[in-house]
Amino acid sequence: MSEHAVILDGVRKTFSGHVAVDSLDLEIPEGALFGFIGPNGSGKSTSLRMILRIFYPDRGRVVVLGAEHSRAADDRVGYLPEERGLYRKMKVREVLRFHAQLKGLRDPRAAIAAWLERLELGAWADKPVEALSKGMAQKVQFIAAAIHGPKLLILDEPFSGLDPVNLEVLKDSMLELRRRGTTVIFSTHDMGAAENLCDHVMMIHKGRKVLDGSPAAIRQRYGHDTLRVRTRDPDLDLASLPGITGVADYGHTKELRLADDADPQAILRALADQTAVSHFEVAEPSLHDIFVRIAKPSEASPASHQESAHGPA
Amino acid sequence: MDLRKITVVARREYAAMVRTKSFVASVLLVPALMGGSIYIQAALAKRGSTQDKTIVVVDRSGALAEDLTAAAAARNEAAPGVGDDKAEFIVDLRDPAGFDDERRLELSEQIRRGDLAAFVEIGGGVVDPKLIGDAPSEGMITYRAESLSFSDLRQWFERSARQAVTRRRLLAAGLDDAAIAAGLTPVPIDAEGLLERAEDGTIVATDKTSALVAELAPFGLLLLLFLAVMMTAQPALQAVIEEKQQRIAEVLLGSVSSADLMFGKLFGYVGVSLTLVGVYLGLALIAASHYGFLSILPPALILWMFVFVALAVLLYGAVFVAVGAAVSDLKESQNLLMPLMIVMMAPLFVWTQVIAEPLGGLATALSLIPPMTPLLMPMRLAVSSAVPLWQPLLGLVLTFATALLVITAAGRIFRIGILSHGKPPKLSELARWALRGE
Repeated sequence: MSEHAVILDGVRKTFSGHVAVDSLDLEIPEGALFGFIGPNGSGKSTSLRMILRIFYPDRGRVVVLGAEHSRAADDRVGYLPEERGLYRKMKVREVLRFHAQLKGLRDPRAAIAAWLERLELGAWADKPVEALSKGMAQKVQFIAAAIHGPKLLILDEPFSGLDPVNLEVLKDSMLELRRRGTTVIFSTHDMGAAENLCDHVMMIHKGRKVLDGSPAAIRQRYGHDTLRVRTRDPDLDLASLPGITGVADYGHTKELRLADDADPQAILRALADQTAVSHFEVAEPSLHDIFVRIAKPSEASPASHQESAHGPA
Repeated sequence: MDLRKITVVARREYAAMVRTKSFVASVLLVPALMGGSIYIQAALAKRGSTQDKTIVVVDRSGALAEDLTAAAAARNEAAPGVGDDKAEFIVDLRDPAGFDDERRLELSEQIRRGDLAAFVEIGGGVVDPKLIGDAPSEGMITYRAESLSFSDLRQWFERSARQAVTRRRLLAAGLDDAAIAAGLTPVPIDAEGLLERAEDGTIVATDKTSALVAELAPFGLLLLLFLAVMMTAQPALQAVIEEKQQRIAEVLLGSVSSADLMFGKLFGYVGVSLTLVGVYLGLALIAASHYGFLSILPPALILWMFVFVALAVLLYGAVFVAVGAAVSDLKESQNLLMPLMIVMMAPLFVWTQVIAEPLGGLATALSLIPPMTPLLMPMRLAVSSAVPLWQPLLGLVLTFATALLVITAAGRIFRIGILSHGKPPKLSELARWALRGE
């Protein structure tokens, strides 16, 4: 039995000349909550679909739950695609029964009732899918992916379009599944969610892996090169401060990127001369900031992104 | 191949299609429409028209006027309705003298205005050929009306005029009216069924088939098979397009392979079509046994119909499903479906030749061309019990082999098409998908 739920080895996939994923090596430990991050069109969904064997790689190996040549529709795997779709005319209960039976559950009634209860959808069991709100339909879709108790659950953008309450419900369900031993892989744009939920994060950019590790380890690799600052005057020009190479503006809070030889104390003094400082922190960059640094082409060329990603380790 | 998944998909497709209101409505509507139109036609024919029809008769022979007037009176007497409701035929005799083209034009105008139904010129020599002379028109009757379609007036006139001419000729030959009436009485000809030996050893006649039923039954059967396939294939196409538009397809492909998904769909559709055929054949059997025509639907024929409908749905359904997967909306599918529709409808163009000579070379050859086999073979079997068993069996094998080929190609198109969005593939691309699967 492999201790890795998924192993990708030198995987490459092209679509009519366009390289979607290139030289991707990845090991996803069993029982992990694993996040795929990366900008739109970077190759996240393609990688997930290769793990699902909806797509086959042009080159390289994809090993899923110990098998290299398993079928596309493996009953041990659950899948929530990015583009959701349910039969609109069917009732919620019928749709879930259909998906559960497809996954080999002989009598899914108890599981359906339990899941509808857990995701607060009990009252909607006998309503047609087309009567559901988008958030509710998404929860139904999540149940359809997880109802058969898969060993590996793959969620493509599970949080998009959910309100905070439903977001929490869904995160709880993901954590619950992991406690029961399910390996959960999900892709997301929500860096906060990735940072807080994941044991492990992989960032893919332009088809190549640029980050791979636990959120803490990734942040650490970048060192304490970030100042988190809050000042009274929000429109202050912070980029002109000495030793600052970049500013990420999050509204009231700003993250300043330090040059290698910058002195935080000197910056604090310069800042205090101009305005009242309510928060000043020398910190590791957030995953969000790291993401933006790598993905935003204005800061550096893609080649040096990769170097900076692996370099400081 | 995973039979369990195929079954789950097939069950859902079947339920999704059969449980819709439009399906139930169309199942009920088709026989209702057909029965209704036949009934209405019959009722209207019975009721007849309510307008009097005037026919101008110019009798140069001078021999028929009296008979025609009498025939019109007899006909009017027997016509349904009373008083003003009664649609009478009025014979308006005109003097042949001076009846030239000017008069003909005048009458034609009257007919165009609707004041007159028809006018007739009876040649001078219709009874006595010696009077024909140099003008062949003197030996015939000319009937002019706006529409030369089979109107009741024209039918009546032809019958009455022939009878009158025959009577006059026979009178001229010296026969009396009693002898003529006896001579003209037709002998009844009754169509009976073939004989067969019953289980108890006695020889009995099979149910008699009326000429009308014998003629209509094969066409009804052809139509039934065609409808059973079309009524499934079209919604199948829509269902696949919807699955693609609603992004249901990718969710499904996470649970079931594209081949299993397609087979599941096809088997579901086969079930739907067999249900349709079952319902309609059931109704037909009830009607046939009620009117005593049960022999036109022998059990073997029914079995063959089920077999060939199943094959037709597999064959055509696969193409429809592939087209649905390749396009992104219904409009795009129409171009791709045109050639397919022509192939599907081909049997409807050649069926008359096939039933005219069901055992002939042409009929045999046509019914063994796989795309036409499912419709034409059952029709031949319905018309003649002398079709050798090897022919439907060969048709079965050929169609099955074709269906397998088509399903393989369609499956490749389905697998690629169902996940690709954007502009529709060109035919060359489709061909590449079908042949190479990429």
